[in-house]
Amino acid sequence: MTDEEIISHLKLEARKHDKALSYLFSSAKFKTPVIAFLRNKGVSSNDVDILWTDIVVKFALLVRNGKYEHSEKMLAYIKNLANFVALNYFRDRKKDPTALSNESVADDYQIAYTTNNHFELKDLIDEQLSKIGEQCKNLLLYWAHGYSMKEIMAKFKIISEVATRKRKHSCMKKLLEHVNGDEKMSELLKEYYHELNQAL
Amino acid sequence: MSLDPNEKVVEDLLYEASARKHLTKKQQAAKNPIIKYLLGAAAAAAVILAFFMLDFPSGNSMEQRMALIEEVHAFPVVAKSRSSQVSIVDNYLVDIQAENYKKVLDKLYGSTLTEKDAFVKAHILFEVGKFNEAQEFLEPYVFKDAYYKEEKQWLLFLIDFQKGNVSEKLIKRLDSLSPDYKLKAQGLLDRHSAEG
Repeated sequence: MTDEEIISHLKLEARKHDKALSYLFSSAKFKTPVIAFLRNKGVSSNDVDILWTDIVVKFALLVRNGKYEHSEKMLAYIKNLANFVALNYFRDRKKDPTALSNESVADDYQIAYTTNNHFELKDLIDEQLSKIGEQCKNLLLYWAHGYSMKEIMAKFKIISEVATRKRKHSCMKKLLEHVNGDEKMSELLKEYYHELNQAL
Repeated sequence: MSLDPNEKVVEDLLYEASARKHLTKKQQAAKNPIIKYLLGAAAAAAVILAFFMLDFPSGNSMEQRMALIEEVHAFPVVAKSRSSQVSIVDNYLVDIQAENYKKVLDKLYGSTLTEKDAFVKAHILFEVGKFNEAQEFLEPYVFKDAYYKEEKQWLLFLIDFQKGNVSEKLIKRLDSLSPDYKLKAQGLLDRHSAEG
C-alpha cells in the first residue's frame, strides 16, 4: 500500500479501515524507525509494542477526524506523534524528564491535544466500559470502529436496524452517565474538550 | 444531535479502544507459540512437499493467498478524470467507493472502454474473484499510459499468485514488474513460502 492508499483507506468503512490499520501497524517502513526512536528515548522493550500500537491508533484517529493533511512527510509526522506519546509515557510513569533529552518537540497543536493525558484516559475509558456490561461494551466498540447499523444488527443478532440504533443509544447513555459520574475522568475530558475547541 | 459535550471525546476514546483491540488481537495471534509452531511445521511440510510436487500449485488455500495479497494490494483510489476524455467509471465513483462493484461491472460490459475503464474493470474482476476473466481481459489489452502498463503487470502477477501458479511462470512475471512492485512481489513470495 502506498502512503496515499493508507490515508484514503483509513477514512473508509471498517473493513478497508482495518486493512490500512493492520498494514501501517506491521509495515517495516514506519515501525522500524519509530521503534528505534522510542528505544533511543529510553522506552523499555516491554513497553515499546504498547506504545507503537498507541501511536498507530492515534495516527488513524487524526486521519479519521480530518486532522492530518497528507504530505510527503508521513514518517516524520508519525515520529513527531511518537515523540508526544513518549513524552506522556514518561510523565505518566513519573520518570526523570531528562529521559527525553534536550530535543525540542515540534509544535503541532493537533498532535499535542490528541495525545494529552493519553495513558490516564486510556485506563479510565477501559474502566468505565467495564461497568456497562460486555454486550453494550462490544456494541459501542463496533459502532465506534465504523461498522454500519446493519452490520452491528447481524453481529449482535438484534431484530432490526431501528432496535440496533436504540440499543446503541441506550449503551452510549449508560456509558456517558458513568463517565460524567467519574470526577477524575470528567476533569480530564473537560481539559481535552477545551483543547479540542482551541485547536478547531 | 448530542447534548452531552463529552460525547464526541468519548466517541474518539471508543474508537481508540476498538482499534487497539483489533491490533492487539493481531499481535497476539502473531506471537502465539502454538500458531508459530503450526506455521513453522507447515513451512517445513511445504518444503518437503515442494521436492515431490514441482510445478504443482502450493498448499496454501485461496483464503490464505488472498490474505497475503491484502497486505500488499488494495483496490486503487479512482478519482474523476481531469482530461476531456470522459470514462464510464467517472459516473460511478460513489459506487466504486461503496464497493458496489456489480453495478459498475454491468455498465462496463459491452461498452467501449477507455484505458481508465479497462483498468478499473480489471481491478473489479480481480476484487470479485473472477480471476480467469480478469486475466483473459487483461492479457491482450494494450495500455498506452505507462502507469496502467505497470499496474497491468502487477495485477497479472497477483492473479497468477492467487490462482496458485507459484511456479516458473510467476518467477518470470517478476521481470516484467517495476522495481517497487518487484520488491512487493518478492516479499509476497517469501511470505508465501514461509507460511507454507
